[in-house]
Amino acid sequence: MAKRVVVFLNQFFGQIGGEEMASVGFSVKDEPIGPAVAMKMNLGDEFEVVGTVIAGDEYFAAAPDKTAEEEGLPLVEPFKPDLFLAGPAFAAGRYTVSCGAMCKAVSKALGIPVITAMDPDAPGVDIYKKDVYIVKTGNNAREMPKTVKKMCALAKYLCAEHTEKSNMFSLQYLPDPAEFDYIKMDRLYNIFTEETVAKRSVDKLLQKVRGEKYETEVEPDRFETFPAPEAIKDMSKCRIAFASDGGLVPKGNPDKMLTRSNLKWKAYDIESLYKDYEVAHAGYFNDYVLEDPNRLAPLNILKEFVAEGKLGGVSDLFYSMPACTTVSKQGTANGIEMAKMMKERGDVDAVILTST
Amino acid sequence: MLGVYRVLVGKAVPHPCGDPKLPPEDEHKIMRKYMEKALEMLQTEIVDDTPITVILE
Amino acid sequence: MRLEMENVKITDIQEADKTHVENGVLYINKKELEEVILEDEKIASVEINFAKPGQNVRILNVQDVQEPRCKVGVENADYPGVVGNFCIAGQGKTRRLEGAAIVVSNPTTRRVENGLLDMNGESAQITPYSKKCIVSLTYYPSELAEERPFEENIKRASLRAGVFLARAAEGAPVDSVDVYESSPLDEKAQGLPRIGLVLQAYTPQFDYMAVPDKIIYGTAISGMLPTVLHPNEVIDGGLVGWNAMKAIDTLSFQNHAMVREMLSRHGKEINFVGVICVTANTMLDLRMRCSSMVAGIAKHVLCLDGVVVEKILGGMPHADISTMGVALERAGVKTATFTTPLTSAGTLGDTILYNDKELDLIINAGNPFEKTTFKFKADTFYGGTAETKIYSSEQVPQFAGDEQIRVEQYLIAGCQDHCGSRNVITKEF
Repeated sequence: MAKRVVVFLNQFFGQIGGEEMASVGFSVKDEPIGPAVAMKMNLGDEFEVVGTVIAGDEYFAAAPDKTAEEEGLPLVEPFKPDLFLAGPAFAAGRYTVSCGAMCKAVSKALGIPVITAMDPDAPGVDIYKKDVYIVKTGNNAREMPKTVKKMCALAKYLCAEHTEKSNMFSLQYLPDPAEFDYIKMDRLYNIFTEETVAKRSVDKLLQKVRGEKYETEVEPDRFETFPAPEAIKDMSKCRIAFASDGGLVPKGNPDKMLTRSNLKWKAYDIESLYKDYEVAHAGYFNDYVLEDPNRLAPLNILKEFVAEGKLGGVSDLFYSMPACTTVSKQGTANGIEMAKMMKERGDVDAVILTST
Repeated sequence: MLGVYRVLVGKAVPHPCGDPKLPPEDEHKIMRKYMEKALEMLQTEIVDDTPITVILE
Repeated sequence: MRLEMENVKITDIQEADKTHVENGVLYINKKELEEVILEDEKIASVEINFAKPGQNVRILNVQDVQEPRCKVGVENADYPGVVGNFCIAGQGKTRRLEGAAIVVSNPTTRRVENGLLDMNGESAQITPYSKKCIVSLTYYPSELAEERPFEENIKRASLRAGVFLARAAEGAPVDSVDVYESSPLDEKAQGLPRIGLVLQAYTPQFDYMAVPDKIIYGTAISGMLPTVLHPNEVIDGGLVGWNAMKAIDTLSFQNHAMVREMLSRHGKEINFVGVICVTANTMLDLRMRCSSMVAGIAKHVLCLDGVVVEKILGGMPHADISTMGVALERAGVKTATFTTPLTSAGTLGDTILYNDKELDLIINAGNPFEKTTFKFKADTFYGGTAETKIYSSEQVPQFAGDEQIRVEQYLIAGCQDHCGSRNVITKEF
């Protein structure tokens, strides 16, 4: 039985009109239109393009995810697709976003492979790359034929019943980003290599020692700098908040923070927290902090300082992000949100961040 | 150093601001020392965007 | 120093009246083996089971995996400081039962992160241990035993069991012999780059009940200064595994891939001078002391041109790797430093926990904490039961009898190996 394919296009590639028709709402055709015809040819007999869903770039622009989930998805579902393709959108500002939104909505609801194609600098990339396969393109629609070819090659891989031995420790079949030329989706997986870690290490060290060219296996991101915050002038008026990555959470861990690779944060009422708590962190022996959370963040001491007039106040909120072996970018993102919350509440002048 | 200008080195990974090996009174004393140092560092200006790292004796 | 490793290949394991090896079959008299183990009064009883590749067996509460070995022609020299008397490991003759392994299970443990080994099913496909002939030892403590020391008791009893089995292979033909002989003074090694291994062998951050495991010659190395060893000492019982699976166990130390890789190149491409063992540290002053000393030893005592800096399990040990690495580079010793990505979300650049410009050759040794879902319906359980809890860092309740479990790869015995034996790299998708 042929695999059923639905394609999403904008008003231009869907042959409705140009920019003047960008506000057009959804329409559906029971056959391949425009680029979908080339997709049908490249996919071959094992696939059947059963429908094309079209909507204008401007129609999507105000609320792309909402539009995709509430209007686009119900038009795709009746086709019972096995595969969903969108675009290619190249570098188009609105079109790359609507393609990404449609793909993400379909993927979440139907669990089928979804593929689109964009220029790596396009707005749709950062928003959707984690959820959607995005084949790389330039910013020129002249690349249409080779882009469609790449999308279809990737589609065939994703839809295939793989019987060959998996090269992943997780025994999955994920396409190689270089081979299929798609934008990496922030996924990291162990794969089997030709050579052992030991052999590679000695080979590369020898290259380095001999003065030959050598290739590192990881290239760290270099961090951006920012100006240092000004010092506090009058500590007796200063209000301090505690933040910590040590995993202190309310008893029962109501927000289900993970003991490893946790990405979430929450601000908890500090008085109740210190009365009834647990530790969600698998990277250190928790018992000392469980005995006394002041060992992680000395609330007792800061309260003394306030009573002594040395410190203006302590925040009523404890900003907690259990962070055992997790993603540093997420730490940054969460820190930004915490700072935002503190600024909005306007009750914090300085933060003591403790770490295990 | 990543993203922070004022770093105070904690006591140990499982208890950055305390020391379970000490009797409670003495532990309280070193907790105060850590927080006093923290407050002191918050009142210290950073020069030439160079982070300061302090180890308590 | 010369070590001759006599390899006796084991391809099957069976019960018999007399413990011996014949035609690659390890025949074991369970009663005899039990007697050797129960010499320790802290052990109330032990269940001895055999497990073979392809059986629907799941082995639980695994705390160590060991290769049965014994010293040949000398008494009381096995695992010096642990089983045998103090002497230097790595000389003379050792007999090794290749293809066999002893799996140590402690079902009354209160640790939550416990190892497991499947002999069939999906996880068996990704660990070499599922291809071995297994002697599964499940231990129960006597009233005299205390929880934490009991873990040492059973490790040592298992090592003694391994000695007993390897001794019983006396007389069986030896399939191959590996000779490990190296000295920095070897004629053939002169003029070649002087290379060493910085072996980060421990970290105290996970110390269970605040007690460190005993790793080198029967002692803990937490808070200790760097120690220099001859490579043979590492692979002949000078180092044993932890009391928990940590992407390293006794078997991986016995077969230390990095040490053996360097030994194989000694006198041909490198002068393999020695191994600097060091612990990771939770306190900055200890970390800086170890790092300075490692660099000093490497540069001024061993006069090394380059080192591989290997890492133990965990996030914090990256800090020690980077301070050691920077100290080494600044001293003029070139480094290849390990990293182990510890999360499955992000890019490699995101996950690396150090960022010093001097560390420009980083080895990607795999992510031991990658969570994977494995399907396997076992019909036999050793070391536990179908109700044994399987650790989930996502805190989802799961049990050994479930058809599908989701675990971090380091808990699958042998799946990941921080000694460098696995063909693994973490790739960006």
